[in-house]
Amino acid sequence: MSGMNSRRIASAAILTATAVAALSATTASPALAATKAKAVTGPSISTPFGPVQVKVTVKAKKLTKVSAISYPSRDRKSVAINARAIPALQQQALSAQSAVLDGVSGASWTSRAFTTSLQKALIQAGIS
Amino acid sequence: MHHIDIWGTVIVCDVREPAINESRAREACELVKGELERIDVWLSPFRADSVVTEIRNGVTTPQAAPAEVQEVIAGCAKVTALTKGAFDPWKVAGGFDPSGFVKGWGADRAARILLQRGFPNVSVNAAGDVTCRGESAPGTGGWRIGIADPRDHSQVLQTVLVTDAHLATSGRYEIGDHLIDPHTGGKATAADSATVLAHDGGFADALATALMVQGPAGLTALAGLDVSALVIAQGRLWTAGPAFES
Repeated sequence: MSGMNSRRIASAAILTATAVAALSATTASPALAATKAKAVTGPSISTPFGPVQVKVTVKAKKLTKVSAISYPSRDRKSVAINARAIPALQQQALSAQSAVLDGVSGASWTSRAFTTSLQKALIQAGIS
Repeated sequence: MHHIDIWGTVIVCDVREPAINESRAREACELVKGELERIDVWLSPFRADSVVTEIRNGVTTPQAAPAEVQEVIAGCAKVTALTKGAFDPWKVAGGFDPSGFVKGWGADRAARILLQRGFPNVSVNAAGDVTCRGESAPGTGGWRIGIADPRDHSQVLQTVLVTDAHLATSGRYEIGDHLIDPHTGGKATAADSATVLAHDGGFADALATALMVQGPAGLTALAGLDVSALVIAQGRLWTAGPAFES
C-alpha cells in the first residue's frame, strides 16, 4: 500500500513519555521557591454522564496538585471508568506540567471535560 | 469557552482573541446555538419533525428539501463514491441517516458564524470532531489537538497542529461496537479508531467513519487528495498524508 507506514504503537507511547519527562525536568527558579501555594478551581464542565470539575494547586508557577472535585459517578459503569481515568489524567497533567493541548479529538467525555476544566484553571492560575 | 447542549451531546465553542469581548463572544455563540438547532431540524433522524425524517418516511423528497439538506446529501454521495460504499448513509436501517457527516459539517458552519461575527481564532469541538480556524494564541500557528488513544482514552496518541481544517476521529471510545459495515450489515471491526484531517468538516467526519469500516486498506484511495489520515488497527498505526507521525 503506497504512501502508508505502520509501526508498533508502543514506540509512539515511549516518545510521548520522553517528551513529558523533558517537560517535567524544568524546575522553578530558587527566587520563586518561597512563593505561596495557590488553589484555583476550573469551571464545571457538563457531560452527558455528569459534571467534571478540576481543582489545581500552583506554587511558584508550577503545578503541584490536580484533583477532580466532581466527576461522573451516577452509574456503576461511570464509576468504574473514572476510577481508572481520573488518576491517569491527574498524573498526566502533573507530568506534563500544563495542559499543552487546545482540544482533543476522539476522547471520552470525561477526559475532554477534564482537560477543559484543567486548562481554564491553569489560565486563571496564570501558568498556561 | 462556550458549551452548547444539543444533538444529544455537547458542542464546545472556544473563542480566542488577544483581547476578547466576552459579551460579543456570548452573543456570537447564541447565534451558533440557533444554527445548530436549525441543523437538528433539517438533519436529525431522531426528530419526528425533521426534514430527514420526512425524507425517510416519503413525506418529502430530497429535491424538495432546503438547500442545506441538499448540500449534505451531495457531500455524503461524494464520500460514498470515494469509499466505494464503506460510508453509505442510504444503507442504514430506517433509511437515509447523514449523522456521520453532519457533526463535521455542522462544526464548520458554527465556525463560519463565529468568523463572520469577527472572531478569526476559534475552534468548534462537536463531540471530538474539531473545526479550527486561525490560532489558539498569537504565534502558535494553529490549535494543538490531541488524538485520544483508542485503547486508553486518558492518553494522547499524537498531537496535531490544526488550522483552517477539521480533525475528525471515529472510534470505539464511546459508540462501542455499534458501527455497522454497510457491505455486510455486520459490525465494523477493521479498525479501533480512524482520524482524518481535511479542509472540509463533513468530508473528514464521513471519511473517518468509512475508515473504521475499511481499516488501513482504505488509506490508499486518499493518495492525491489534500487529506491526511491515521488508522489504528491490530495494535499498529497506519498513516496517509503529511500530518501524522508514522
